Amino acid sequence: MKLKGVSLKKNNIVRNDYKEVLMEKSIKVGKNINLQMKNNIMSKVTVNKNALTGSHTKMIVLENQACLPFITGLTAKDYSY
Amino acid sequence: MTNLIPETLFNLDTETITKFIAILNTKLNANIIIDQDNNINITRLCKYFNDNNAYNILLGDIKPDELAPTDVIDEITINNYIDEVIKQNQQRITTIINTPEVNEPENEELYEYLKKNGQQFTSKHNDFLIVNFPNDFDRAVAALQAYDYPEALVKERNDHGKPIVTYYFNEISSLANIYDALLHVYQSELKPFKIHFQLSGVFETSTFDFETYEEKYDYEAREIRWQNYKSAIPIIVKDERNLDECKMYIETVLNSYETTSSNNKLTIVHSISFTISRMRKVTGRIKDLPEIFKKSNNYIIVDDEDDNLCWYRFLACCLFPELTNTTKYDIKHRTKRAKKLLLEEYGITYTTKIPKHAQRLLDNFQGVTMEEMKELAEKHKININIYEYNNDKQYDLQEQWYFNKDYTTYSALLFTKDLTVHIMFIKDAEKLTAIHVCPKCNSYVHYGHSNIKRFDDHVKHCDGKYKKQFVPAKEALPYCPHILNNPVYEYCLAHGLPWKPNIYYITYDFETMDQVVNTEASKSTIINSRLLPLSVSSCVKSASGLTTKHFSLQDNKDFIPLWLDWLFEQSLIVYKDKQQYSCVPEKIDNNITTITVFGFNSSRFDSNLFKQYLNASHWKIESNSIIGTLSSLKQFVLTSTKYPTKLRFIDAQAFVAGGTLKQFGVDFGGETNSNKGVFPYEALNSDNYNEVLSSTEPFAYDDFYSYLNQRNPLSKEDYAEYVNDCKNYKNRWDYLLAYNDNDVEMMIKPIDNLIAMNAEYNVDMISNLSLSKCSACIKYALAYKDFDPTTEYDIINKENSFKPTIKWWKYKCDCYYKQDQKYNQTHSNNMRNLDKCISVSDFDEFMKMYNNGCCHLCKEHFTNVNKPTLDRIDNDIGHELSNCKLACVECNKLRKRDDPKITSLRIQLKKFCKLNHLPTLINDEQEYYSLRNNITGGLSNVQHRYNIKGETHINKFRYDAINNKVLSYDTPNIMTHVVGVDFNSLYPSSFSSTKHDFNKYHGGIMYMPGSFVRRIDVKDNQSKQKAIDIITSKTRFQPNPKHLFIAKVKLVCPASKINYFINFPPVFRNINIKNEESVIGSYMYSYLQEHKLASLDKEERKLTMLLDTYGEYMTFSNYYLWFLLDHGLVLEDVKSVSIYEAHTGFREFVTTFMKKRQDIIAGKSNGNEKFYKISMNGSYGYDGMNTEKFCKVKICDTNKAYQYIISQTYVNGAQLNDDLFIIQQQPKTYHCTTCLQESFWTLDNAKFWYCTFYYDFMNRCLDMNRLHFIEGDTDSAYFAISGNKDETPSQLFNNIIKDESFWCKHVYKFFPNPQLHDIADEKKLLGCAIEKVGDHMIALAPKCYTIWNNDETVKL
Repeated sequence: MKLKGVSLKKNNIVRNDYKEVLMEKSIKVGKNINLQMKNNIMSKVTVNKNALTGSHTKMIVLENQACLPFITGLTAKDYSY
Repeated sequence: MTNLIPETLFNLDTETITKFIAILNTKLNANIIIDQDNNINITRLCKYFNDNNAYNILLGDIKPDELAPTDVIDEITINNYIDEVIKQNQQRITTIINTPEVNEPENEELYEYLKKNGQQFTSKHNDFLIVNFPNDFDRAVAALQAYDYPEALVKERNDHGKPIVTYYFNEISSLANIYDALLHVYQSELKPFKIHFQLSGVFETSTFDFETYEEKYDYEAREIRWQNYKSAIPIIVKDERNLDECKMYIETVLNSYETTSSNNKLTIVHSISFTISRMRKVTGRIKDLPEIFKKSNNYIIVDDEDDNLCWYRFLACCLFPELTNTTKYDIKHRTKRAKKLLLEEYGITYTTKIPKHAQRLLDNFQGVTMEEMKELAEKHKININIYEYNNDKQYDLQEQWYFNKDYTTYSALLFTKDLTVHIMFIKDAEKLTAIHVCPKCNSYVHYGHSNIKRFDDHVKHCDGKYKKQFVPAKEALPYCPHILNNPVYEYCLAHGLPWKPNIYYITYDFETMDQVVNTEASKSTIINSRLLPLSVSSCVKSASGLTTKHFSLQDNKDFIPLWLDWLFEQSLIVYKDKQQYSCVPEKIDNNITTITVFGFNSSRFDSNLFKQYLNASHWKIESNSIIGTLSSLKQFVLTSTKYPTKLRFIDAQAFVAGGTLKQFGVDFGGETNSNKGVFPYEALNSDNYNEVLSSTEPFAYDDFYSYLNQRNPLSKEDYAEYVNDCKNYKNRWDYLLAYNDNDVEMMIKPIDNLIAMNAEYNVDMISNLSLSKCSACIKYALAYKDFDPTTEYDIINKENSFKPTIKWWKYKCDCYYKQDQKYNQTHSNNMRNLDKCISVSDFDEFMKMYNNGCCHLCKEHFTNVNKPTLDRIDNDIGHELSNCKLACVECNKLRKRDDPKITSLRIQLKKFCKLNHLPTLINDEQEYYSLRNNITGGLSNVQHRYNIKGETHINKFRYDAINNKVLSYDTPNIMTHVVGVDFNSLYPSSFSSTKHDFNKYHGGIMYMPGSFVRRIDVKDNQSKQKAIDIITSKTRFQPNPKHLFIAKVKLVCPASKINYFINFPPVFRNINIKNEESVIGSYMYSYLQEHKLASLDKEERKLTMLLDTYGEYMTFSNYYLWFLLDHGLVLEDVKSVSIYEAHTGFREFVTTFMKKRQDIIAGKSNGNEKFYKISMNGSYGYDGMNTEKFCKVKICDTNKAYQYIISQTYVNGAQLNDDLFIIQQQPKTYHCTTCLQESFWTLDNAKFWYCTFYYDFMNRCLDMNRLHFIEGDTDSAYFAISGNKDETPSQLFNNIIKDESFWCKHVYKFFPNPQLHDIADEKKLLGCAIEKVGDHMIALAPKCYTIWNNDETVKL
């Protein structure tokens, strides 16, 4: 398992969450706890973040989960499966 | 524009006028001061009307001279006027939202925001200001009422002297309340000011109960926490028009709360705070103005008079240049003129005697704000450069008001002291400040008088466009940081002395405790606690061994200053040891008095804990020593008035690739786990710490639970060990302090090891700042491994091919003459004789010298790219031909006057560099931009998201050229497993210049670029043909190239080739992708929409895989471009080609480090494998460092803080203590001191290799219909494979091989050969290995995926 944004260790993210996010088009929320500056004072801060999202905008994602490259002269309508 | 003259209003009595002013003040916030004298009131009212162009609204078309006495303004006209203005303001806001270009530039960011999001807001309730209607209204109200809000803090303006103040209001129940609050702030503050706001109230959190299947709601009232400025847009408020914008902004923000999809919603708004950054008025009269201003050769007109008129006096000097003649005119003349100018602003003109009411106006004049000054400057058609005088007694350009290139530019000196700002006229800024500003673009700034030619050059070629200024290196010097950036090593090398690294230093570590706050800072952020320092320990490593001492709250409430004082005291000992230890004369080692203090993760943690003590007692922070940002100080230096030493605080974590202190000890100190103690930080807080720590009992097991890590880091065994250990301490305090001491002591060994390992390659770790800098030093050190300062290296050219012309000579003479002239201006006691300076008549003499001459330092001959310069032999004499010898530009620069041995070392170094074509710095501005803007990082992409064994078909793409459509179709093959391939150290491989059979070019070796030779810009057919010839030259298949190139080209993919490329597009480049339905497809668009993800409808620049250059010009390095062209892409157009020398200098570094690492892993030798690993992986990053994005951090007092806040370069700031501010600024210029070209090639070579592996290997021998590409990262690729369903995933590619003989012949050129079972083979350069195999894989998005087997194990 690999993901960015939140720490895998500190969040209970299981394999099934990936499947769920993909199949149910949902989002999984997680939290990050860290030490950072707030109001110029060192603080312990809990940040709620989207841990898993199915957002992938580098390519054109079709409903069969295949992602196709952008091609000069074509719009998203010209892609099908 | 028609203006109202005061006479029009003279027949109105005091009462009426006062009434009018009062109405205007209340309804339009006109801010007109009411005086006892009716005439003054009339003048002020009149000025107000004229400032706001009110004539037409008030009196319509009637011309001033046609005004009848009956046409006077009455109450109806005033009220009409007010209605009209309000109407116009509303229209204006609508215009702002629709056409942002037409408005004031300061608030541009706001307009942009409003344009995107601007909306009106209405409360959902009459008694409360409700944003989102709560699901349970009563409970929400109850939560509000139960919460004990702090008293509203409504400030009166008696807190003079603070640049930033916050107003706080509560009991908000409607929008009107907020506006009242805003109005209050507006009325009590001097305008203009910058305003930020934040609001809070009752939040609703919803949770879904899975047992009852019901949504549950919780309500919580929260206090405002004024957080980061970054999230909010500051609005500059000048007049009531801006107030409307504030209102609009507040409404829009409320709206965004309304539309939030978070399960944490703001329901009832209850309190609001406004933070004001005050912009002070410029008034003048500063007591004890620095003497230097008055003595500065009369360049500054000081005019220090206490009448608030300093700005107008400045203006008078600009508009009436004769007034600047200080011998003829004195301050009285200027003041007279200033008064006239000021009164003209009020529509009062006079010849000699100031009218009585005007005099009162002058007496009451309060000065002007920076914003008003700016407006006036524009009105009077002048540009102004504003200089500051900083603590280092130097002048610096602070701000530029540049309106129009036709206006004359004047210079002003702004000086702040004791809250008074004074502006002075500078007669000759260039002479006074030695700062030259380009009169064309006004953004190119040159400091100092040396190298003025570069500035003149710029002015000559400047196109007048503004850019953040890049300052190129002046000469293409050899890049050899371990010698040239380390004077101590350079001295040792030149003088044949043994070199030793710095080994004496201090470590420190803070322990903290929580002060529980648990408040919500924003909808997704909760601040759990603040961290307060509890104790600090330091360990001093000196010749006599280790000395450790701790300071804690137990001894003293203010223990941090005691600690810093002790550090200074100890630094004396370290200094003495350093002196004894040092192998060079003290003047060579200019850092000998600087004692380094290491923390671990201190840049982001420890250093923030004692920031407020940085300017205290006898020490103070060295302002230009700070590196980093506001919240992450990578380096800062403290100097003392009591001790000769300085303390330099840096972070030891930066020398390793992150990780914890424990890991640091294990990896580099060879320590076992138990050496780092354990401590339950979260068991104590600010209320109970003394009580808890005074206990003699050991902590309970559960005390060790860490919320931060969401687990208990201790096992039961560890705990038992702790309990045992605990018996040695009197109480928990002792244990804590011992633990603290242990932490600082355990840092010593790993740091010593790192120093020793770096020193093996002649790199002094302590003088560097980061891992990547150290490893880049080693990389270059090994490229210069064969360099021997005693060898005479050959020259390249045996005769002079450059032919000097008289024109060239004349130009040279002019430059040198100017140089000498400039020198004389600053050295009045030791003038150079300008009459003897070289001139056109010396040409014949020069040619005699040139014809049989060469560089007197390196003996190299001159060519068109290496033109001669004149090097003066006797430094006291100017450029007289008899005092000059010929030299190359670089030699001239490298020559060190006081040490011939170092000079000769450097010259040899330069020759070695030239001979081996090693990299030099980029000294061409255009070339820098073409590299910087086109550097492309590592790719990370997903092509098939759902891959389940036995279910998913291998999916392929096909382009249908007839219908111009693309189809994704399933093949009949069902996938059986997933294979992940990972390249071995891809980046080091890419710059290693290792030979590989699959690389068709340059004899199988990827060469790296040396110094920049020249660029061919395509201007006409001839130059285009030349560029195309270079790109398509057949010499690419021959070994031993002389040159490499980068080319800016447009590539297209012919329709016939689309299907070849479509399953793995080979162009990895950044493009702008707009997240619209027609671009990214309806599937992803509706997903973004449903979850209201931030990127919806925004344009983002993303790295993706493309089939062509997407209609843009993109820059590629030669290997990658050849690959694309040779595989079928077509070169449509070319813009430029830049040529570089070719070298293989980094091979030594990569092979040495690879070998060492492999030997250690294989057990053949001892050493630290981790060091070789991190150095190799870290070595590439430093070359590509982007200095453009770096910020400047300054520490300053209140006075300076005012100046910085009004400046355009201001980014962020915070108050540390009463009179200490930390300010982050965007610098105006930046340099590039690394070889950017190395980074460019490394990254492109890696892409080239990735594509080669897919197209020239996999595509050739595997059945591509039985596999598809799932996901790829910079150096890895995952494939779904349809193999034999009865075999385990370890079958890898075995069952889909199409060309058996090709496979057998070449497979081990990439993959490890299992028969060899040799670590060197497994980790070979340019090779790859199987990273992971598995049954299934789901890849949601780049870098977010999971692989698993049916039996829940993943085989590595």
